[in-house]
Formats: sequence, structure tokens, C-alpha cells
Amino acid sequence: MKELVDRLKSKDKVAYEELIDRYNTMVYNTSMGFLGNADEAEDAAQEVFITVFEKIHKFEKRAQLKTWIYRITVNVCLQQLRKRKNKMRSIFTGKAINEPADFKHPGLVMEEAEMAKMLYNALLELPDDQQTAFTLLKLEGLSYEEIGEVMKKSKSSVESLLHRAKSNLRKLLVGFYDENMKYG
Amino acid sequence: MDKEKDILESWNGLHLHKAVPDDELRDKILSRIESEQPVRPLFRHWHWAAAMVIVGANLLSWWVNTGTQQQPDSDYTQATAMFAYDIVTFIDITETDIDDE
Repeated sequence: MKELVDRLKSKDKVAYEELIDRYNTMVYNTSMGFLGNADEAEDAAQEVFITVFEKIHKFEKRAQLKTWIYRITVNVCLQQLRKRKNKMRSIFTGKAINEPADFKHPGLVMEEAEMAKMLYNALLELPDDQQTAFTLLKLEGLSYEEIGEVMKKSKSSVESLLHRAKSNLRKLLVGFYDENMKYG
Repeated sequence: MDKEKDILESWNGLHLHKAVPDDELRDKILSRIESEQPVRPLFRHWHWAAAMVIVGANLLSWWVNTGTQQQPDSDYTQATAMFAYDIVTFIDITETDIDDE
């Protein structure tokens, strides 16, 4: 039986069904982690699989198919976030409108919604690479090695990125913690 | 209180389960893939070959005419007009072909 990638390259419909069955949840869950709502995550997932369909002929099996799909997912989500940020800029002043984005993850318990929203908005403030590393670690549960493969970075670079991400999150969330410690 | 530990525990404490997409998403993706057509080049190889033949024939015609006749300017004008006509016809052929498939 021909390998999945070869069948995808020959635009075999059954192969695409197999691809979607295998990676749909992974792509959707990652997109939810980046985008925080089902509608945008669905759009991103569609975009990811269309990109795979269009670019599969360029895939040379240097990376695993799964890693390549993660990369595409991360790129599509970051692009979507950039578009969202641009939309959120005031048309009069060009300044960003600081309206916190919702984080409506279906796996979230109601009581945790407010905390999740705060954490998610802090995450959006991070540089792209720190946000990516943190999301893949905490929301997708990838190992440092796997994150390194997706981001084309060494394990030590990923560790450093995550260290900086945590340090920046600590600064961004300082108000939240002070508040919690006061009343908690 | 270790704030860094707090951040990690806050995320861990969210108890996020995997977000599972609806079955509808699978169908939407498949129908979008089916409707996607591979990007076709505007001009294919044979189009370029045809264009080169037309240009070559016109240049040859112009060269023969200017070499053998008394009034090269008029022949040159005629050859240019023929060339323009051929180009228009050529574009028409290629556009028809693109719409057909």
C-alpha cells in the first residue's frame, strides 16, 4: 500500500479523508489554543487542510507529516491573530483598542472562564515565538523536543523561549496575582 | 508564593480537555478540497511555442519583404499589423482554453 504522503500527492480523495480523520482534532485543538474561539478555529482548520492540499507536492519528507501540519497550523493561526490585531486598531488614531479577547475553549469549566480569559490575553501580548512555544507546551502538551521540531529550533532554544515566556507572563499577570493574593 | 509556579499551575488548573471539532467540520474541509482546482499556469508550454512560431514567422516575413521589395516601410507596417492581429488571436485562443477546463 502506498504511503499516505504519496497518495496525498496524487490527490487521492480517500487519502485526504484519512488525513482529516487523523489530524483534524490536532489542528482544531491547536487552533483553539491560539485563537480561543470555535468559529475562528474552524476557519483556521479549513485553511490548514487547504494549504496541505495545495503545498503537498513541495513536502519532501524531511520532517514528519505531523510536524509539517503543526507548522502550517501555527502559521495560519499567527496570521489570523495579526489580522485580528489590525482590525482592532482604531481607524482614527491607528492605536490598538485594548479590548480583551474571549477565550471560549469547549474544554473549559465555567468557573474558570474568567481566569482563562486573563491568561489567554496575557499570552496574546507575548512575541509570536514565545506565544507559540507556550501554547504548544501547555495547551497541546508537546514535549520540548517536539516543539523544537515544529519551530525549527534546538531544545535549549525552546527552553530559553519558555523561560522568557514565563517571565513575561509573570510581569503581565502581576496585577492578577496581587489581587488574588489580597483576597485569596 | 512562587509566581512562576502560579502561572504554570494556573494553566494546569484550567483542566482543559482536548477541543474536538464537530463532524460538520470534516465535511466542510472535504467539500472545500473537492472544489479546489489546482492552480493552472496562464500560459502552458504549447502556448509559448505557438507564440514563438507566430513571432518568428512575422519576423521572417518582414525580413524577406524588406529584402526583396522596393518599399520596405509599407511592408514593415503590414507585417506589424499582421503580428498584432496574430497576438490578439493568440490571446483569444488561450483565454477560451482556460475557460473551458
